[in-house]
Amino acid sequence: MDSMLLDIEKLNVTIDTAAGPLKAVQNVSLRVAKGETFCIVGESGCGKSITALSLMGLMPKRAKRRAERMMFDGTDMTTLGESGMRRLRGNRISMIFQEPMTSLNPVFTIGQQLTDVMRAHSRVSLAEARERAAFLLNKVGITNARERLGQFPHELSGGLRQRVMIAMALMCSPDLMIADEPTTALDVTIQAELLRLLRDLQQEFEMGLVLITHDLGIVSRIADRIAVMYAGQIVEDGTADEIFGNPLHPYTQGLIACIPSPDHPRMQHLPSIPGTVPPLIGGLKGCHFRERCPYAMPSCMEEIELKGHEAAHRYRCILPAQTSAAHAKMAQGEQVHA
Amino acid sequence: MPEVVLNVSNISHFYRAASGFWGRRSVRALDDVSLKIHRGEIVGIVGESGSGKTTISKIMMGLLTPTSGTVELDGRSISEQSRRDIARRIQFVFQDPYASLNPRQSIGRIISQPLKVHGIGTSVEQAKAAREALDVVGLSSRIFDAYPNQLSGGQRQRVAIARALILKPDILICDEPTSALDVSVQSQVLNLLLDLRKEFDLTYVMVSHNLSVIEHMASRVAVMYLGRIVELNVSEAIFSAPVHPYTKLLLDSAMTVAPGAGIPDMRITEELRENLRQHPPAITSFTPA
Repeated sequence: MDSMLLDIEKLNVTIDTAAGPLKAVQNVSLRVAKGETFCIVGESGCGKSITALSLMGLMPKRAKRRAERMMFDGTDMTTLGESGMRRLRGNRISMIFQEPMTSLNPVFTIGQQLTDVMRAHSRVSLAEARERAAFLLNKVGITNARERLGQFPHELSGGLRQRVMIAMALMCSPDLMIADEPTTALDVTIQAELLRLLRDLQQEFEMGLVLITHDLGIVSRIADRIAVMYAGQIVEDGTADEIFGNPLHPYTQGLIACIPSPDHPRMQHLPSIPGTVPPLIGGLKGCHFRERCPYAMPSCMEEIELKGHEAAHRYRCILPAQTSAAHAKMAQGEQVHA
Repeated sequence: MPEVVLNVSNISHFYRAASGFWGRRSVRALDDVSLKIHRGEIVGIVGESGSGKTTISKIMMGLLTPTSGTVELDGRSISEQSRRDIARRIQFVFQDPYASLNPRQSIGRIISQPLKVHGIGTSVEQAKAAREALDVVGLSSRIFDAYPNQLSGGQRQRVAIARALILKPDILICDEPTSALDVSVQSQVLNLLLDLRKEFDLTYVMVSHNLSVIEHMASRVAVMYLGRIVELNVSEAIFSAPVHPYTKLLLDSAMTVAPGAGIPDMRITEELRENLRQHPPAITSFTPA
């Protein structure tokens, strides 16, 4: 395998709870190349965010992480320890969180928060750091960047705050950015603008981007590769063309089918996935999607491995051919899920 | 022609906002908004944050008194009607089912609360009605004694809908009813709203920034921008042949599923902003089907 920026093999995260161990992430393997956009999709409670946090080594105290391999640009992250991870975080790997309202500190100015990140990682003068902060605020489309440095978060709108978060994540020119629902709380016009900005910056700096979202519209438009997570596992992964053009897992098919679109007759029932994500406490046997799957059968009780070619398309289902035919029907607007 | 149930005419609303330490200034949230809602319609209101869509929905319910203009419910001004009378006719479903349900009350109590407030029935009858309401929204009556934190987001939103329906209103105002939910759950809730409308002959006002949801659900759409309705027409027309540049901008920016289409590439320049402000509204009044 040629040089991957991020190379994770069989990542497991288990959280100790009063009711027993909760297997939040199970054998998740993913590889992200330089300049690539890798999207992780799935419903809430599927383990997307905890996967991202554990990549950064940011986990609740009661969580345990185990992985066969966790390589970042040739460095084994499992051997780094807390101080080593701290040198990577915010520096070579940075993260944007979902809520721009809560991820900025309300009592410090934008300028202080932006320069702190940089000065924590490199020996630069305050003047140099402010210079870069102003440069990046300008880059993310904020006018009067220099004046903004003296403002507090409450003086900025949600869209502006999210731009500040992006600027902060870029302060140290990271090689990899992990963005968890970066545009969910924003208006559509601002959302498109910010994503375009992220894409431009990504191309300019050859940055790898891991984007976590439940918005399949965004994913269909910007992803190079996609991993669909369900109940702690990757149930399907592959290139964006494959996932949208030929989804093989019933969960992926269901997710795509239930998005309202002009293909569905107006004011009529939309397809839906009955039920909810099962609780992960105690561990699940067999296919995790079994109970919500319209094609479930007795053999779904057995453990199912990811099949297919990693480079193109893999799926965790015993009968993808059958579901594939059903998907064609669903695309025509028929309701397959009862 | 179906009767007008809710007639919003020439509503303007100013919020008083502090500016600095000394002065006060006011922010115009609504600027001469008129909208007639007919029985059985699903009227969608779209626009970005700050466009006034939540303000207009609060005014429609009488939760907010507008600076000027009138709202008539069945031909009578709502300012002459009591909160109680309005609540019997119009109910609200809020965006965030995590915030709109009291975490310290059981589901049964939450749903039957409106009956208590209105003094309808004995407590036994109220509990019975709450169980029936749970059934109507597709929840098991086993959750009657549960608390909101034991439910998923979709279940909570169903509880909020059950509470809104228990007084048997005619009009439901839904402010972003599914934006806190996952897509799979979103379609369940939208399907439920469509079923309930048929079953109880309801009229909906749906406020959302999700254009796909509005396109699927609404029979008519009002597009709001900077406190004004800039375009009003039947849903098909709005989505297939938008007239106002702001409507076009909204539709072009929407990230619908379109593999390989990339990110919509429209730049919001000062010139475009000016054009959006200057362009006259495109209002097409209701014509019976």
